[in-house]
Amino acid sequence: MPARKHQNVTADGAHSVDDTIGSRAHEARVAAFIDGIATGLAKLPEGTRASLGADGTSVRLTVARAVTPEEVEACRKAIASVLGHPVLVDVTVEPELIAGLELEAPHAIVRNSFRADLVRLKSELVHHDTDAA
Amino acid sequence: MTQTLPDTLDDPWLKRSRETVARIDLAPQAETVGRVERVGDGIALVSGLPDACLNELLRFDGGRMGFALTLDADSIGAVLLDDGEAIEAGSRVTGTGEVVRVPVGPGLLGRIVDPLGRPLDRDEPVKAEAEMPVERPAPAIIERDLVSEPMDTGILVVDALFAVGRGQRELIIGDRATGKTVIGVDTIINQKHTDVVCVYVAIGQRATAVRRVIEAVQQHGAPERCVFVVASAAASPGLQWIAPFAGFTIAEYFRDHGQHALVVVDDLTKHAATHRELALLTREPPGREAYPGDIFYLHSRLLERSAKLSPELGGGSLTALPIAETDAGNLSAYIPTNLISITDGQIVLDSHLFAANQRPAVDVGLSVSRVGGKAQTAAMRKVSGRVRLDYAQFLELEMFTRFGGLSDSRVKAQITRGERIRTLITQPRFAALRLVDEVALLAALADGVFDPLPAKVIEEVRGHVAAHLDAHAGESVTAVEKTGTLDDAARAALVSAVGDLAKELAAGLEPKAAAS
Repeated sequence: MPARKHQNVTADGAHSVDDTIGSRAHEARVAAFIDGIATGLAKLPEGTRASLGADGTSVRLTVARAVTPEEVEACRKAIASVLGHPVLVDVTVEPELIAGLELEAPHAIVRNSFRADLVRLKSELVHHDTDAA
Repeated sequence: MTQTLPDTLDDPWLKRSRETVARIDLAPQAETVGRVERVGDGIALVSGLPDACLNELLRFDGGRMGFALTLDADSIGAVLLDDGEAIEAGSRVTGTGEVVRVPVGPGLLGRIVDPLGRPLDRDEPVKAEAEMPVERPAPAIIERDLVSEPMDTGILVVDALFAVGRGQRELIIGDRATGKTVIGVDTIINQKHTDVVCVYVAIGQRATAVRRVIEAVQQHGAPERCVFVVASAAASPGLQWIAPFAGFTIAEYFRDHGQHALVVVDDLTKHAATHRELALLTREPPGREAYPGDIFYLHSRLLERSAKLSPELGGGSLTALPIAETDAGNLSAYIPTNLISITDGQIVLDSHLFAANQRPAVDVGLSVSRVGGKAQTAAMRKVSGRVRLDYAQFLELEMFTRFGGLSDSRVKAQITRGERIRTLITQPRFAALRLVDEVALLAALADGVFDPLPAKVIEEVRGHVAAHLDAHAGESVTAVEKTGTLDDAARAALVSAVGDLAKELAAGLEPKAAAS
């Protein structure tokens, strides 16, 4: 039961973001992060990029909210332009991302979301504190 | 409503944390991940991770760790450092950019740890001063000094005939149950009164055997200056594989701080078997006796790390006593020959001598120390010069005496002397001799003090010599201990004291001997 409660709280928190930031920000929660995903993909080793979705397998794209077909197409195009070949995209919605996108393939993960940023901040602060101690 | 307290604004933690947050670049993060393709027998075959380095530490799902042992074009042979039951095919693997490290520092002294430095003795964590890679380069030629200081084992036959120097690598080799571990453990125990830090590394040993070793050191030695690195037979092959490397790294900390360290590796035959197992599982081509081609390099790069450092680097030393097991006394098997050629000498133990109750069962003919006299004190060198030759001649003559009686008085004298040497070098466990005791006994032997005495008396003399010398030749004892030399006056005093003790004990034992 406590775990479920936690999930609800997190989901509620994500929905409240939607309610608070309005429709323009609603669009930005996905659109503003597409270029970042492309930049992240470009950082991967060439061999890994070449193998992503090359044999017809799809890559998983996790988004912070439900996306429109136009938004999915925009993501697919941005990803394909970096990889140099067309790619199939499976979309999963995870409100816990708050805003942003995460792309996962068998041998690569690219994160460009507020959740990833918060995890990073937490990890750096904890690490920093441990070092200081 | 929140309230800002003025005195918290300058809080150092807050300031530090804000600086940390400001430094963080929240750019998109991209990482390559590997996938477990196959897992079993302590090995995981991982696909992906094209940037992984050799020996890189890998993190598996669930926090399990492993390291990259082999790198192929499209896969990695990873050795698991924990049991692999929780790892499934398809699970995620990430690189850490780190190599396997082990905690080092004085906080490890007195502790029993696994090869990753995790405590096995109690829940209290190990207080490490630093973490150092388990694989470290051996000191360069220019960083070394000659091995010239003795590492006293307290075992007469070793100290007199096959002296071990600080910084030397002396192999202890023999069949199973011939007392190999005993020599290593007795040497550790004998460091109770020295400045040497000891590291005992158990590889693939039965837990009961390891426990016996630890208890022996706790009862007779100085456990507070010892570290026990244990990868027992139940540990994962990965842990067993890194165990000697971890032990050397722990000892190197002390060497690099100008101290003297001793590592006993028990044993490298099992380590070689583990290496063969891992190599076959990662599909490396098998060579002689199915060992992979790098088995020689594996042990040579490990044992090269023992060294006597130059005075500029603090003059510390790391002495290694690796142990190897033979089958039916076959010294020409692959691993024994490798280790014999890598080390600076070997103490060969013979199962027949052991069965004949001559312990330590050192085969004087096959054993050798390539440093030898250079690592002995002048006093020991002076009195031990002829012992090996006399004993070797005796062993040959003894063969012939089995066929008939002896008439030549010179041969009879040689036989008598040889038998006394044999009695003297037969030494019980936990009865270490000090350098001065050994010098006194050997000087007395050379002067013929023991020739008329029965074996029982010689054994008694060996047991009581330390107390007797302290009581009756205190000045000479101090002189030998301080200077390491033996002048004629001191020699005469020591021999006289041993002679008196022998007479006393012979008189005391006579009725018993007559009765028996």
